[in-house]
Amino acid sequence: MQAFTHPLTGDTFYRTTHPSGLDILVWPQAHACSAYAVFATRYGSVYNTLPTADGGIEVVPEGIAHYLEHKLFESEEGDAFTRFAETGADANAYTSFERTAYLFSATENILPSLEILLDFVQHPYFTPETVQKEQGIIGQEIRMCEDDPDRCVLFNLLQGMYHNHPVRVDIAGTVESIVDITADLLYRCYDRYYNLHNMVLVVTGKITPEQVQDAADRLLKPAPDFPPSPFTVDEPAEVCETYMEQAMPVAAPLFYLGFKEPPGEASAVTIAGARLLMELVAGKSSPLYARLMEEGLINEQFGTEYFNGPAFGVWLFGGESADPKRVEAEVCAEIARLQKEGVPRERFDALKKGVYGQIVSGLDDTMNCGELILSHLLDGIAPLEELDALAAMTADEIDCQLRERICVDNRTLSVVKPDGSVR
Amino acid sequence: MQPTIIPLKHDMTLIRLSGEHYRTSRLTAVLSVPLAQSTAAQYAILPGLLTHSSRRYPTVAALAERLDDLYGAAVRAGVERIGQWQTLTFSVRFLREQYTFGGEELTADCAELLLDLLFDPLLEDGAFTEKDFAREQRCLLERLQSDINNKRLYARQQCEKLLCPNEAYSVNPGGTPDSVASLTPSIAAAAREQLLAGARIHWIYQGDENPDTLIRAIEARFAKLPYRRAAQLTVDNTYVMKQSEKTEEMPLKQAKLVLGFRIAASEPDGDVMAARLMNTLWGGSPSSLLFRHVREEQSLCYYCASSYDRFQGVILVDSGIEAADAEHTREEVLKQLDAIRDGNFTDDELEAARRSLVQRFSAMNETPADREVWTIGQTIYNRYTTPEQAVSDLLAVTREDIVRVAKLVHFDSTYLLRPTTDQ
Repeated sequence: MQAFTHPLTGDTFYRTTHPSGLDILVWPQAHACSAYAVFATRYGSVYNTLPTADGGIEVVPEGIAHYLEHKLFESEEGDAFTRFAETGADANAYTSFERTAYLFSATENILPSLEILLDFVQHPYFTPETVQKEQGIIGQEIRMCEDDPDRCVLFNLLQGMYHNHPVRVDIAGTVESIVDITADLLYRCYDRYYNLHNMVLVVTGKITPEQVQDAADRLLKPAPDFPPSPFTVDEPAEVCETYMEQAMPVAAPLFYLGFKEPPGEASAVTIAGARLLMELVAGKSSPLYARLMEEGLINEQFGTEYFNGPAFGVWLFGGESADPKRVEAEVCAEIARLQKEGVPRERFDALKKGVYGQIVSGLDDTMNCGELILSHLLDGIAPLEELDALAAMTADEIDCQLRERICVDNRTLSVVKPDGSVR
Repeated sequence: MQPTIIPLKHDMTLIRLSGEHYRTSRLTAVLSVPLAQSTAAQYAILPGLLTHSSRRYPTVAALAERLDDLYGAAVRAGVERIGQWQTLTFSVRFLREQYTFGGEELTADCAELLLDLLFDPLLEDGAFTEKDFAREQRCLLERLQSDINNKRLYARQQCEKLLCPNEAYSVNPGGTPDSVASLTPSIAAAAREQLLAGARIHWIYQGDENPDTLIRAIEARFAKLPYRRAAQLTVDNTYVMKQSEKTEEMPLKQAKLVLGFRIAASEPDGDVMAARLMNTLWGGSPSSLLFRHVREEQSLCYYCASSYDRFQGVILVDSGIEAADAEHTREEVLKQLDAIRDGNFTDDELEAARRSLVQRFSAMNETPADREVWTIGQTIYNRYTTPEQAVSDLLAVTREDIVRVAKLVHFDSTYLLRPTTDQ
């Protein structure tokens, strides 16, 4: 494995492209009491098609990537949770828009746990009976999500922002859509997207690169070629709807305000820039945050997030407010002001220090380390390259990003309002 | 993490945890008072009031700017219930010097900041300013009201009220909307004085600076206050055997079933370790009886889990289900409890539960935040054990111990939140 040391933190990483095709990164942390491993594929809910034999495209049921995640835990001999129970590892998995990830955290039996992880993710076992059985479980997961106002207000926003992009569809699908999922379809999705050339393994904490290399050599089988197929979608630049609303049993209105980012490639500079921009616009030291708080328009649930993936990028401002439309107006006015006046130069260095400190503070946790590095690799940047970009960032660069990446007129406001059933 | 316990003047304790390899240091004040309906709100408003401004940093923005300057140092405060105590925590987390750009040592500045927040708030005529008070009162009220947005949390709270009516345990540590509404700036200022004068106070320091300077700084602040005497609490373990049942309706997609149990095994002298393992076996991990039988075999739900509060001797089992399955789910949960009481579980199931708990204990050494959570729980009875000691105690628990503590469980309450029937 090739070693390299990060100049700012002094951490040493080891990386290799395994002969099987898998991109492997190991971040040993000598004093950690546990190891965290995450084995992920670049396949999430937005990949909603399969190529057909005649060169065409077949649209698959909504929620199939998430369904596959659930079913991959099963094998002919039993389920992976039972195997992990023998090592004591704390195992789990998740599906997002752009990835599916299988993971464990363990303080002991780390190598046997890693072996289970590498093994079960490579060995799908789906039968009509086991696929059918999962409908009840996932159906209840979907029902739970349908009652979750925080989730509803987000997915309503994405429906309002996007015309055609599958990011507008709930990751878990619907109770109706998952009925169409079959064992055959799961195998075809697996064969298409769970190719080691399309996957990443990150292991952090109490582990050595030699241990990971040895497990990989024993357990990974060379994958067939993976013809790259760029993600394409016919998505207009403008948002679909400017306002979305739903009534639910909540105490006060919840909102998400989203700005649709023009298409572009993610880089260390854009990722670091997004963190700085959100702090600049609406962080706790910003004039906007102070004003919204003093005027009683937000509370401590207010937060910001930038998230991006294949052909989408969203700037999110969300929380709880008696008057979401006033929050919307205030956020737009503040962004417009900063776009015109530029970043306050006297605050810029402190903002950078603040964001840098927040990122480095998170690195005490091997799980955070693993997930951060996984995101970096899936975004196509080097581990912690974001920190280098942050340290080198200038106020002029941030001014430029603020003007080019956020258009205040291209936005959607999503509100979940009280339905009157909660007294 | 062997803690060093250092008695301080003014009836306080400092707990020092070494950990040279972390990127961050932490100083936390843990203040505990008896949980009571009459005082919960007045203390609950203090974490917000004291950590968003001070005399030196009189606005939210001014304080946030200072934290940016300190490399994103984070001040956090909260209020929680630990058994029959209301525990307030005030902490500051900051980067160690080797991770700052210029090798700055931040301990003294950050400790002074935290002490300033607690001891030098922005007051006018002995009361908090109207503006600060109004903001924090509103935020606390909105937080309490928004509990209903999370239906799982709401259902658990309702079951606790059913299970422990008229007991301190069922008092919300955040107060009630009515009691928060009746607070004034003067009442809150007096509550701060009462808290400093009468709470049990533990300081937790995780860092590699000599704690002597820190201790002198803390003691100097208290030397200016009137004589303090830490609160005592005689835990009320009275429990009248009963059975309660309650059903509520809301416009929802999924029902939430919560079953409430009492168990005659609690801190400080009960058979807590056996109860923890019994709970893990029953429904505390993905290899548990409830996960396997209720979720995996019968596909009744996405989650069905048990949780044990060792301070109060309470177990809650909760699940998200179809309303029509409520009775069947309840029977299945009780059936699995009976199986444990009868010894009808395999050694493999018991050892899987044990390994899961070993992993959970061992992981409490992972980050400064984890270590803090572990230690705060131990301040209640001033009994300090390491995760390694806890693992050792856990390994000594036998099958017979499990069967015995399972027989100490009494089924008490059934709470069902179901979708409105005329939906």
